[in-house]
Amino acid sequence: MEEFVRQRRADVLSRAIGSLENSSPGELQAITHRIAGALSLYSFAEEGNQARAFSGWLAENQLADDSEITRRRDELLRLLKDAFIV
Amino acid sequence: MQMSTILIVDDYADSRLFVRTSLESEGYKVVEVSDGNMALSFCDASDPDLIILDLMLGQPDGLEVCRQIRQKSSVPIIMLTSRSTEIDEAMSLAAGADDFLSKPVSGRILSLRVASQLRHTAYESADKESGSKHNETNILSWGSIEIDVKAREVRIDSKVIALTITEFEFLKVLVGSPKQVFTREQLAPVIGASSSFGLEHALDTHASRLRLKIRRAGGPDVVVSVRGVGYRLSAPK
Repeated sequence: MEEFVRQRRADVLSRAIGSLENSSPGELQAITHRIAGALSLYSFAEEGNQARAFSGWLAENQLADDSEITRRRDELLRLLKDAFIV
Repeated sequence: MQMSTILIVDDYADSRLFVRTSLESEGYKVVEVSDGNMALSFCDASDPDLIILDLMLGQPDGLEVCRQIRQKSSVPIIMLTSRSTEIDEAMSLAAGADDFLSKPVSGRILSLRVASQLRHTAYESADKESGSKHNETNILSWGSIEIDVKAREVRIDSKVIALTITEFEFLKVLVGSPKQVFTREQLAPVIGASSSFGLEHALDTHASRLRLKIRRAGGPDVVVSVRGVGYRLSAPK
């Protein structure tokens, strides 16, 4: 399984980034929840935690401004893109 | 056991692939679907040996799917989810799930949990088979409750009540030793728990469901919590 995870994780991360970039604010909560689970399964622990935290924040702040949602989404996106470098 | 069919229900392909690969590497046959309706249709058409169900599907969500399957079948259901609060776990167990795992989980632990649940089912089948061959009965009783161990049936005033495998095993252990207080650690293998994480909550939930089902069938209050220790059977009235 370690080898399987090692081979697939870059693709999983790439798809997660694509999903985040292409989601509307209304879709983000469900999307971030899904990618949080997948990221954590493929050994992106911190990225999975941050995605889960963002999903939780979205669930609790359904009336938040789109600008604040976008700011937080971009923050998560930066973290995910940095994970490619590490 | 190695060719048991496992149904994976998850709406994210990468998560399904991880679970599929983990289980196939242990020799299981895996079928995957991406939403609750497909899962329900699959269960209507065939009988998976175990279901791994994501809690946060679209509509119907994992809890609803679990409830609907449980109305028709005692197939072991393991909830696998990114959410890990006590309330999520409690709601899952209350909906009829036999186990609850939160992501991340390693492929090894996932396979072991699956094997643990399938062992329960295998014991049940073996008991049923030996009962029919030998025409033997092994009845435990307590008040108006009667447990037919061979037939895997619980009756209250001769009326059969539907319990999950886990609830049946829980009740059987208590009725089998009516004066004993069982610690949570002693009961962990009975409910298929392989660690102490969330054990107290899981036991509480199974006990609550058991009490409710028995009361609804006109039976007595059967399970008593012993604070700080575990559970025992209530004193007969």
